[in-house]
Amino acid sequence: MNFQTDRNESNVIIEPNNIQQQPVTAMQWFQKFQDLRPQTSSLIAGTTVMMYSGLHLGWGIFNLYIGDQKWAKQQDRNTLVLCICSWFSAAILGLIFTAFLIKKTSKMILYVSLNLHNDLIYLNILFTGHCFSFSLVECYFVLICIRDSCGSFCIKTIGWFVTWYCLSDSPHSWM
Amino acid sequence: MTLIHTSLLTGVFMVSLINDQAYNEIFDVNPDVVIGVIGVVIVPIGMIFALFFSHESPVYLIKNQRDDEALAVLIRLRNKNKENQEIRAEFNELKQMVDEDAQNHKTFDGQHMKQLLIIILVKLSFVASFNLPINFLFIGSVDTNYYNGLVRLAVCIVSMFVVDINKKQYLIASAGLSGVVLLATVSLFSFENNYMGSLAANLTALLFQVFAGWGVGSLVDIYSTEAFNTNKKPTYIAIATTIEYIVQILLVCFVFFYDISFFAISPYAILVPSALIMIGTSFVVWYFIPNTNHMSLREARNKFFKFY
Repeated sequence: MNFQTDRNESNVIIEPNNIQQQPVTAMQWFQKFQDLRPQTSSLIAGTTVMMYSGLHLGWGIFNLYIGDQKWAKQQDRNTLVLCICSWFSAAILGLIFTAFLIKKTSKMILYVSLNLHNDLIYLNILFTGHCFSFSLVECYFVLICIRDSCGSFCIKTIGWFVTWYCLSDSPHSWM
Repeated sequence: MTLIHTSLLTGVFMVSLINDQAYNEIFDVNPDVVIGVIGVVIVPIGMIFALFFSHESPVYLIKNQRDDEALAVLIRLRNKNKENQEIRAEFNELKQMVDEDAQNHKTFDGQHMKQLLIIILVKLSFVASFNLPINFLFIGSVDTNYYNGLVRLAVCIVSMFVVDINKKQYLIASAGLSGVVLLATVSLFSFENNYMGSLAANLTALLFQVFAGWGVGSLVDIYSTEAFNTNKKPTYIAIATTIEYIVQILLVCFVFFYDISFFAISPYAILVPSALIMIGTSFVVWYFIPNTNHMSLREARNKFFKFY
């Protein structure tokens, strides 16, 4: 079955310069993995971030029992929807800020600062039992990164206010 | 890119497994606690990996006039001890790509807006295959919670190794066949009295996760990195993914505020539009997305640019 269309592709004369052969045998795959090992290792930090993002995503929209959880039965429907949508809304804010930050900040600073802050947030949740606002607090550490890039006092103030609000009033307990 | 998408699906599968064990009373623990503890463990591991294994992006270094460091990073990334002809050619191509991209300062010109629109339409196919109502339907229609997550993850892992053979055809087949399976699910849901838990339900769930997991998620991400130049890529990917997440939020609100029990929702409300979006995506990919197999970033970007 030929999916090529004659409309535009015949006018485009770009051809790949280095056509790498697809590995066939096990040894060829092993050799390819060896060659790509540093590049894959470089991605591991990103893959761990994506894995726990997948945990949050699955908790929200891949969870048939989300309404049956103990905390959910004590809340109204609006709060439940807010909890599920909080990941997406925080991710949208994170996307907007990251699209700006990534051109100005090196990868190492972003990885280390965001992961360190994430770890502190999770430890905070573990000891205080406040879970509802973890997505909003993730927005907070994105704001911290902006503060480090822009040096704005206002952003620091907003960040502290968000943290205070999140820690002082959460609709349900995590544990 | 497929590794990133596979990691996301790994997290989703882990949640489905935890929920299945917890709510079938295999062990008496709050699944939220398990997810939180996993997060506490994974995050510092990610930070340690970032500290010791992460390399700066060569494109970022070239943009900041740090060519020597970019070349050194490329040598390390290709697992070599010193520069060779291939690495020098790759470096020259990256440098040429960055120089060409630096000459185009307009963020929202007509050419790139067409590419952005196509990528948004293609990203909506992933939303159509992985959203709250569709997940609820397929998870609820089989006996075990982790069945759907396991199948999708397994297929995604297999597709990681073969997806580069012919990306365009895989995406066309993946989106089209997923749409057909959704339409078949609508028919079975409408005409079969005991659809939930039946053999037909298990089969349609299996087929849907196989076809959707094959290319819809990972190939969409690959094309979104190939379609735009380096200066505009973060902005355009942010816009496309923002629209994807807004649609996800709207679907969550639709399920919870439609004011009837979920399994009484007419299948026509969710499944038919999702099926049409996926079948439409296969036509969009066939007609509007060029073949970029085995191409470098610069070659793929140029082909996208000249395709319209």
